[in-house]
Amino acid sequence: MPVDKTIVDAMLGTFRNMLQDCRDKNLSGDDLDAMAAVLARMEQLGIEMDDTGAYSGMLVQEGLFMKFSDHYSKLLSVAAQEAGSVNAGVYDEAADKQLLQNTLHAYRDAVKRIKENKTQVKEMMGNHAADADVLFKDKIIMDAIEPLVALGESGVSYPEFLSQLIEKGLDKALEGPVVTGESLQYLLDAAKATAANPYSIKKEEEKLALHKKLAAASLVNVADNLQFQLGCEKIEWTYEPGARKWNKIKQGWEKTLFWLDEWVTAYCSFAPFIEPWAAAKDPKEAVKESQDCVPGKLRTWEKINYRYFELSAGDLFHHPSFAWDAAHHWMYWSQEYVEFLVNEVLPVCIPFQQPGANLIAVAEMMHTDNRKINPNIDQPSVRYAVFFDSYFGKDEFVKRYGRAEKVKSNAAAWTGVSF
Amino acid sequence: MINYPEAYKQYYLLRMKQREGNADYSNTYAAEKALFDIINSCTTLEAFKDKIGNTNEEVAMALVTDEQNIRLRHYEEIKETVKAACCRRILDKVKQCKNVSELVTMVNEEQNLSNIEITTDTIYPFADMLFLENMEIWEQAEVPAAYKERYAAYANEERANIEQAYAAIEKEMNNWQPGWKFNFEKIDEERHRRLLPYPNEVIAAQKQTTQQILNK
Repeated sequence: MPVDKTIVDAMLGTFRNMLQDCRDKNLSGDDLDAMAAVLARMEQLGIEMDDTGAYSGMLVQEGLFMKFSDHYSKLLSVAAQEAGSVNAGVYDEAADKQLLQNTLHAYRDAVKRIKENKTQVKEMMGNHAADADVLFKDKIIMDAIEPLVALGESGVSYPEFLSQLIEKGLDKALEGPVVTGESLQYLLDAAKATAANPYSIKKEEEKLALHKKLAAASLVNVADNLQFQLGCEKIEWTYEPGARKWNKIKQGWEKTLFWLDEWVTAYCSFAPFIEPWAAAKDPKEAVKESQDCVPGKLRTWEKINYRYFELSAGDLFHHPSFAWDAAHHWMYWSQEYVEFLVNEVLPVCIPFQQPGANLIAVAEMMHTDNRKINPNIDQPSVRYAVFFDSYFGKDEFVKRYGRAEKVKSNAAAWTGVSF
Repeated sequence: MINYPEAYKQYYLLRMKQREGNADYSNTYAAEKALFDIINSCTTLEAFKDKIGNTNEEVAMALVTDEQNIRLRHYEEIKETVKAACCRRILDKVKQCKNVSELVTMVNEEQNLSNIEITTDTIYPFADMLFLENMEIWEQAEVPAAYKERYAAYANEERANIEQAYAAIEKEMNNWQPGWKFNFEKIDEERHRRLLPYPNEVIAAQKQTTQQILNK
């Protein structure tokens, strides 16, 4: 069975259009033939193969995308040279004007394509078409191209035009504006609003700072593309190990809290009637297993984390990732419940031991009084909505994604970490 | 009346000056200077056309050389050996290109190959210790005897999960590179090792356990 037609269409649609466009312009030659042959090979593989992953892998293995683009570039290059060589061998005012017109035509064509792309994106976005005006940073590209076209139309010769491009830095402006300071600010604001960890924010801060520094060094306030690209890679490279360690330690205390809650709650009288045990085939047996086995699992988990980071189960809660999640409202549990679990339940959660009656009583009371859950659990969503609305309009987040439900909890809000 | 030879001299002078004194672009500067020297020695564009030869194309080759050298230094500094290898291959082949068309094709081909190498340069699923951790928990947790058999079965399920995860990655990677096999030696190469937040002895032990499970 061939690869799903919708997937093949999505992957090859652009290439089909490019080939048709060349034919419509009456272009011909070896490169056009080669483009057609490459596309035919891509179509053939789509029919012969059945697995989407294998299909896309084969397209890359055979370098088909690359070969198609290569022949396309050569075809356009030859066509442009032919158009510019009306009086081949003679360089006079007419030839000069023709060269300039060809160049300006290419820039005007680029503007047209950018506008068309934006229109297409807006059509795809339907009701949210206005978002494209926020996300699609075409203005800065237009700002670079328009003075260039104006310069070309001012009556200068082609070499004067080229010289002024360099003198005014417009050549760099054309290379650079793929990434803009505005889009980097957007990513930084998004990272701050998400507040997943300090690394995700630091990375975006440094990328924006790098962009500003490189842009400031340029005549036309455009960052050098290559320096910016490599600089961003270095920033990612620098922070990635720390971010991974952070997340792994976070996983350590999250799982510890999960088991502490399971264990102490399993001793509450209502345990068989609540999740997760109520969903078990035999709730009472499931409760018994939690009571009997969680300490053994938790202490093995503690050994694993100690081997990784030389952190005991208690130490995991002193890692900055814990305070960060508490401060940014990522914590599912309330502060008083976490303090109860860590300070009182953890020390006695030992294989073949049981929590004292006093601890079970506290756990039952917290459950009954509805004090286990963080009352501000909706805050990450509220925080993100503020960021979203600042870019896309008042109340847009709620209109599109709904309001995060305010949790019903009688617990006090987190005020800080005290272990 | 426009003096075209003078206008072009000015243009090529500006191009040369752009790179002057920039050590990163010394090859480009030399090539631009060669081009400028030619036009500067001509009084007509016809003479320039006769003398230029492939000097213009050499500027493109020099620019690729300089940019790849910049990239190479960057990847060597951060020890990204797979990406650095692509730069070296391009640098080795630049001089063999007879014209810009060949140059563009060569760079595209090398980048395509590099994309495949980057995709297949993976140590997943080893990097995700989840299965091994779960297996250890089921095997090592101190639990009453009544649960031992069940927990041993859970541990076996994790072993099967590990086998499946490695089989799945081999299948996936073979889409990109036929014959690809998981390479345990890669784990210790710095670009991968630095991303694993565990001590060496943990890595060594986990590697051994995984190899035993996979019979490798």
